[in-house]
This record gives sequence, C-alpha cells and structure tokens, in this order.
Amino acid sequence: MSQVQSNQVAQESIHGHEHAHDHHDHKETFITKYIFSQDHKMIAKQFLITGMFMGLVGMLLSLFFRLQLGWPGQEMPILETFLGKWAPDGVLDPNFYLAAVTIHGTILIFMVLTAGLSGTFSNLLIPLQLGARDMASPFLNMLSYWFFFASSAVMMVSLFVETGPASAGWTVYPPLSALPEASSGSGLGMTLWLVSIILFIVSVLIGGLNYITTVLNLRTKGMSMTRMPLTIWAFLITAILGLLSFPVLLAAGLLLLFDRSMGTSFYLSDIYISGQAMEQTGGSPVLYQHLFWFLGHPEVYIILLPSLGITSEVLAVNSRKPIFGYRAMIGSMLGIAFLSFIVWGHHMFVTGMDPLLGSVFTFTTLLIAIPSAIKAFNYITTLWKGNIVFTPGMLFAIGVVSLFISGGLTGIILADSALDVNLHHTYFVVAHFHLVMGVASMFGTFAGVYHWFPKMFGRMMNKKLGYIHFWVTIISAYGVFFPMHYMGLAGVPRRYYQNFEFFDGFADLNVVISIFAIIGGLVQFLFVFNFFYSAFRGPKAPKNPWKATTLEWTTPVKGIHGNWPGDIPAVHRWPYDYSVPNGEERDFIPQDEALSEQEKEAKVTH
Amino acid sequence: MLMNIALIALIVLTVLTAARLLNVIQAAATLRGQKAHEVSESDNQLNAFIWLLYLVGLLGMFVYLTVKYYNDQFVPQAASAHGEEVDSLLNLNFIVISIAFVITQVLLIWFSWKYRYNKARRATHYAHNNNLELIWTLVPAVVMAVLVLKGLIVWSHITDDDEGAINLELYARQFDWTARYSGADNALGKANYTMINNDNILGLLSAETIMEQMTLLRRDSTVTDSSIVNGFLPEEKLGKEKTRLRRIIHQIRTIAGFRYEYETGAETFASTYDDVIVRDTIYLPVNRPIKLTMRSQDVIHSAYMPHFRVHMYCVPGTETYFNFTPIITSEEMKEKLNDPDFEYRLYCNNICGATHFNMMLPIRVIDGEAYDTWAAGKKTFGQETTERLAAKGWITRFANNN
Repeated sequence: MSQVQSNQVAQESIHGHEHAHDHHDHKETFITKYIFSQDHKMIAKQFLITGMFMGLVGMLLSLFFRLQLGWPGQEMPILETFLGKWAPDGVLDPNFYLAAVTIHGTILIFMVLTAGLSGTFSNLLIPLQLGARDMASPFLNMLSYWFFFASSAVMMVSLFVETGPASAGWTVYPPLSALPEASSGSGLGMTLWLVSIILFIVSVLIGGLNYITTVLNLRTKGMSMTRMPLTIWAFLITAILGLLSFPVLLAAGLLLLFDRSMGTSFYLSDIYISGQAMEQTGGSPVLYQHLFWFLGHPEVYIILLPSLGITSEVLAVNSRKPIFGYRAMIGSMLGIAFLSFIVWGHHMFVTGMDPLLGSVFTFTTLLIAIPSAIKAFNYITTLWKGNIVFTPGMLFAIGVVSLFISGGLTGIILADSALDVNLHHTYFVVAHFHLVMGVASMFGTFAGVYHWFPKMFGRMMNKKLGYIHFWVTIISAYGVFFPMHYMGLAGVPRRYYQNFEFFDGFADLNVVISIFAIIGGLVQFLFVFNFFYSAFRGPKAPKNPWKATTLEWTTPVKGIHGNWPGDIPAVHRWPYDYSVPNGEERDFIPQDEALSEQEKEAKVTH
Repeated sequence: MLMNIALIALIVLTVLTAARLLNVIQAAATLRGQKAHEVSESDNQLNAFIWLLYLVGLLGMFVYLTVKYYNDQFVPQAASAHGEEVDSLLNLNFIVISIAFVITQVLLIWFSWKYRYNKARRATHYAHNNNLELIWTLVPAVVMAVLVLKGLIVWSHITDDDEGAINLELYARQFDWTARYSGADNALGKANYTMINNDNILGLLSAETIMEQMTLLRRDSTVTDSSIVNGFLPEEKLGKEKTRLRRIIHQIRTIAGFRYEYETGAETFASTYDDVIVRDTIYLPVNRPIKLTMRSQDVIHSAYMPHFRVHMYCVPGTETYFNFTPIITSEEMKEKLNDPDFEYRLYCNNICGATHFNMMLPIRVIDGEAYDTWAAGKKTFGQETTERLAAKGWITRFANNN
C-alpha cells in the first residue's frame, strides 16, 4: 500500500507542474493537440479512427473476393472501377484474389483488432479507470501510435505497387512468400508487408510496455490489483502476451527478409523454380511456421481478451449486477493466457510434425475449453436476475457472448488432431475463427465504442442507429459464417479462387453468403456516419450516463489534460457494487465512495 | 469521369441529408423530454423481443443447415479405413458441442429477455458461488477428458504404420501433381532436386539420368559462362546470369557426388528403374494399405483427399508421410451417391500461387486384380529413360564414355 501511495505522490508532483501550465499560458497548438499529442485520450482516438479507416479498407477487400466467390467469373464493372488492371473486364484477377485475402486478414488481425482495439481502449481506460493522470510515459505512447500509423501507411502503399501486394495468405508461409518467382505478390509487395509488420511490432512493444508499467505503478490510492475493473485485467494480460510473443514474429520476419534478399537458407531448402535449382539447402519452411504460430496463437487472445474484458464491464453495468465470479474471471484469463503459449502446434497437425507432438498439442489445446467455459457460464449468470438495460453497447456485449460460444465450440473439433486432418484449411476453419475471434472481437470493439463514446467525445451516439447497426450486423455475421461450417465439413478448401466445378452443391449457399456479406458491409457505413455525426453534433452527455461505478465517470465531461481537475479520487471498494441490498434507491455505489458505517461493520464481522 | 463526379456528389448529398434529418429527429426527441443516454421502456421491450426472434432464428438456422448439408449427399461417408473412425469421432464431437450450443444460447437469450429492465424491480446482487463455479469447471473438464482420450486413440490409429503397404509418392509443384508408383520392388528410387529437368521432373537418380543431367548442365554452363564473359549484357541481366551460373555449378558439384557414389559402387540406384510415373489419373487398389510419401519441388503444397480423410503438407526439402487404406471403389461410390460422374480427387490445400485452386488430380479406386493389370501395363521410368536417350542418340555416347 505504501508503494502505491508514494507513486501517487510522485505522480501528483509531476503533473502538478503541468497543471500550473494549463491555467497560465500553456498554449496547445493544433499540432500538439491533435497530431503529436501525448494525451492518452487523444492517442486513443487516433488509434480508433486509424483502426476504423483500416477496418473499412479490410472490409472492402473482403467484399471484392466475396463478389468473386458468390458469382464466379461474372463481369462486374464496379470491380474494374476500383481495381483497374486487377479486374480486367470486371472479373477479379486470381493473383489479386489471393492478395485481397491476404491483406484483408493482415489488416483485420493486426491493424484493426490488435491496434484498433487494444490501442484504443488500453489508452483510454487504463489511466481513467485506475485513477492516473496519464500513461507512465506519454512520449512513448505517442511513438507507439506513430509507429502504428507508419505501419498502416506502408501497408496501404503496398496495395498500389506494380507487382501487387503480398499474396501468400496472412500467414505468409515461405517459400511462397520468399520467392518472387513463385508469385508476383512475393516481390516488392511482400517486402513492404514485412516492413509494415516490423513497424507494427515496434508499436505493439512500446505500447505494451507502457500499459504494463502504468497498470503496475500508477494505480490510485486504494486501487489494489483485485479492485481493478476486468477491462484493466484484460488489457494488462493482453499487453504481457504481446510483449512475450511479438518479438518471436519479429525474428521470423527478419529471417524471412534475410532469405529473400541475402541468400540465406533459414526457411529454404532444395527448391527448383523457374527452371533453376537454387543453392539453398538445409533450411526448413516448417521452422517458419513454428515461429509464426508461436506468435500466432497468443495473437488470437491478444485480439480476444480485450474484447472479453470490455464485455465483462458492459454486461455488469447494464444488467445492474456485479460480474459473476470476478476472481474466476481473472483466473480464467490468466489460464487462457498461459495456455496460449503452449498450443501453437495445433495449427500444424498436418505439416509432417511428429505425431507425438500432435497428441501433446491436442491435449493442451483442449484444456483451453475449461477456462473458456467458465467465462461463458459466468457471463450468462451475470445476466440472471439482472435488470437489463439494452443500450447499443449492451446488445453488442451480449452478441460477443453468443458469438464466443458459437465460434468457440467448433474449436473443440479443430483442436483434435484426428479431426483436424480433414478440416485443416477448409471453410470450417474460416467459420470457426471468424466467429470466435473476428466477429466476437469486432463486437467487443463496437460495445466499447458505444459505451465509452460519451467519455471520448462528451456526446452521445444515436441509439436507434445503434440498434439497427447491431441487429443487421449480427444477423449478417451469422448469415456469412454459420453456413461455412457445412462447406468445411464437406471438404471445400479455403483460399480457392473458385470452388464450384467440384463442389457445385454449394453454389447457391455461396450466393447467400455473399449477399449477407454485402448487407453486413454496407451497414457499417451507418456506424461510421453515426460516429462522426455524433462526435460533432450528438446531444451532450451527462457525467455518468450509464450510472457506472468506475472512476472514468468521475472525470469532467470535457476531458482535460491530467483527467481530474483536483486531486485524484481514492478508491474504497471494488468496481462492481451494483444493486447492493442496502435500502437505497440508487442501484450503484461508485468506487471512490467511502464505505458506509453499515459496510464497515459487516467487514469487521467477516 | 462525369459519372464518377455525379456519384461522389450523390454520396455527399445523401450524407448531408441524413445528418440534417438526424439533427431534426434528435431535436424533436429532446423537446419531448427524452434523454439521449436513457433507454426508453419501448426500446427495451423491442430489443428484448428481437432477442427472442434471434434465438428462434439461430436455432432454426442450425437445424436447417444441419439437416440439409450434414448428410451423406454433401458429406459422403469416409472411403478409407481410418476415415470411418474419424467420422464416428466427429459425430460424437458434433453431438456434444450441439448440446452445449443449444443450452448456452437458450440460457443467454432467455435471460436477456426475461430480465429486461423493469423500473419496479432491483437486480439481485449475486457476486459469486463457489459450488456453481466448481460445477462448470468440472463438467467441461470431464467431457474434455473423454473427448481428448477418444481423439488420441483415433490419432494413434491414423499415424500407425501399416504392414506391407504399397509405397506411392505424391509430388507437388506449381501447379500440378505427379504420382510415382514404387513398382515391382515396392521401393521408391532416390531423387534429388538438382537432377530436375523437363524430362525428369521428379529429379530421379539413375546412372543414365546422372549422365544426361551432367551433359545438359555442362552445355548450359558454357552458354551462360560465355554470355557473362563476352560482356555485352546489361547490368541487370548480368546479375541474373551470374546467379544462374552459380546455381549450375552448385548443381554440377552435387551431382558429381552422386556420380562418385555410383562409380565406386556405393550406390546402384537400382530401385529407380521400375518406378512408374503417372500424371493424369491415380489408380489405387481397394482394401490394400497405401503409404504416401510426399515431396514438393518449389513451395509448400498440401495433398488433400477429403473422401479418404487424408491431408498432409508437401514441404520442399523434406519428405512427409500418410498411411491409409481405401475401402470403397469408385464404382461403389458412384452408386451410393447416385452420381455417375463421381470421382475421388486429390486437391492442393495450401495456398501455392495464382492457380492454386486448379491443382487437382482424379483418383480411381479399383479392385485388386484390375489394379494389378493396370500396373503391369505401365511403362517404367527405366524404359522411358532408355527410349528418350535413344531418341536423342545419347545412349551410345554414354556407353563409349564408360
């Protein structure tokens, strides 16, 4: 406790100084306020808006290939308008089809659901919910955003190079990604992809260090680890996962870069291409996969955990109940995080890996089902006997639970090496990870945006548009991904430019899927409209619109530098004192409210 | 151009109109005394009701799709011995997760509807219950234990070696498949990627192919060398030619090693000669175990035969294996599916470049006798090589050299 207090004092003295500036002649220029800002709230908005832009690009790419899959070979002039030489006569080029698949995955996984989600909400909520003036290092925080921006910019540039963007799938397995002779996308486009990802990793590492340091050191008086909201727990664990796994991807990427340009043979061996036998021998393409998936699997939880943290918070606030099993929720997140480091081999059951290893990875992977089940049941019990207010944020949070269950259960099948043999790289996998990781995390992001929009912009988003956005999106999401399970069971491979010469039974289902995808895609523009309209013209928000207990709602509506005008509030209780049976009319007790006499007595008798 | 401008103008106008409209609607709501952050009674009721429809829709879709697509027509029964075990394991898993799916979705949505906001009620402060949490830790743990155990048993059957299996190689390259039968000795002859040329795409090693490849390479190296030495090449091309020459020298050195082995008698490459190469349709005998050996020439491919529940990556620089036994002939399957055009197929199922989707080979499973007749009628690699070299007039030259 004394350590927390001394940090507190140190923080006060640092920021006290800045505060004095605020009142005198501290002039913030446009550049320091909106561009090279060091304020965590502004950086959060930068992450969010950049993430939204990249999200729209990623979505657009998915619509391009859905058009091809729904109506293979059909001439669609709109494709030529957008893509020019990549869609001659309005028919998507097979090379660009693979590029679209690749960049769609890369953007959504890294730029949107890692940076856009963690970057936004870790930045916004860690200082606000913990009672800190700002991040431990605002400067590093700014750098983290600008590395992310640079990474996104390079990825965008790669879309426009002559030979096309990277097109070896988002996992960019060598040798395909290492040899420009093997695929036109493995030329300059692939180099830019690697540069972009390396910049991205720098961003994640800087950001993660900052999040961890802030959570461990800058909690306000009384904010012990077990009084932190579950959002903060999720962000903390996510940051640790990122810090431990992204460096491995950096290593994998650098070795790939060496193989591409310096004639090394880390991943290359015995290759005959374009009529020539290459000199490289002794490397192993499977080594790359081990390195890649050592990041790749924790990455799934880097994407998912923040979304689950947000869901915990939004569910508790809007069912006016404490989250059920707070400690079990923390425990299961820690369990999932630990297990995520020892399951990567389940992506590699059919790479020729030793069958014994396959058994081990099957075992560890299926263990993840247990903490996941705990989380799902705890969410459901949180709703039980609640008093549920359907804000748009709440709808999305319930949506997360529904999708997490639907998508998670099929993971039990895929984790089983014996069953994965026939489902590996089929649409079953596409359905599984889009539901459990893609759409569920996207819904977590939406829940967060609707819930904390008043904190970001001091205004409310339009609810009705939010409702339409939610219902159309969840119906489209299931419409797109649920049928894909059945295509996968029948053995339809993913990443095929067209399937239906051999799998013609699914031609009509593919049309249905594409129609749902188009509807689901279009309705996102409604969200974008609602977002920007409300940011400027939405009705003014009150200080605590959702009647929540956490500290961010004690700050002034118009966010100020340093967050609280006076002293930082001290914390006296955990964050889930909703509907405490104390005879009061009010059904929540803010975290900064001192214990009542009644409560003190109860504590003593315990 | 004009069209595009008109289109952009239309979009801008639509957004502006929508913004204006929303502005008016919100102003009207404020006038009526509604607060933007409060969810009205009717909104709560409406959303709760849609949740019910959602539940019906979700479960309805699940049942409809399962009945329509998870049946013998769309997911034909496994045509291999281990495939039957896999399928019954899959069905067990499917049942378990379906039960969990229905229970949890029903509870989630039913609670969302039942406990929708009511001003008169207060939520129950219910923070934890150790017994409940223990139950939903232990029940999934036990179910998982059963599934893991069953899975591992099937996995061990899949990965077991079958005694007396026919050795068959699947060789992948951008963008086609080649199959190699091991012939009478049931042993696949050695191969090396430096031996690959247009007539020997698998890079098989034999005394004749070594001589042939050396001759070709020496000629190539002379041409490449002189084009470099002459000095007429532009910078960019020169670099490429130098790389090419380096690669050829590496090839010659590697092959010289094989030649040395042959000349010293350490290696005869005898098992190469009776291998049979097939590039159009793979024929397999029913009820005889097959051991697949997989190789790749360039990038990672993946041999996927969904009907047999067979799937394994083809990785350049290494060999991978898969054992299976076909149990249903193509003719029987045609009858079962009532589809006279039915073929088993080998697909590539790891992204390998532009026409990845088209990398396919039909497989025909026939009875043992028919298979033996078919195999006996095929030309061996040794015969093909001899004929090819004779046509070029090279055989005698090699003989003289020796």
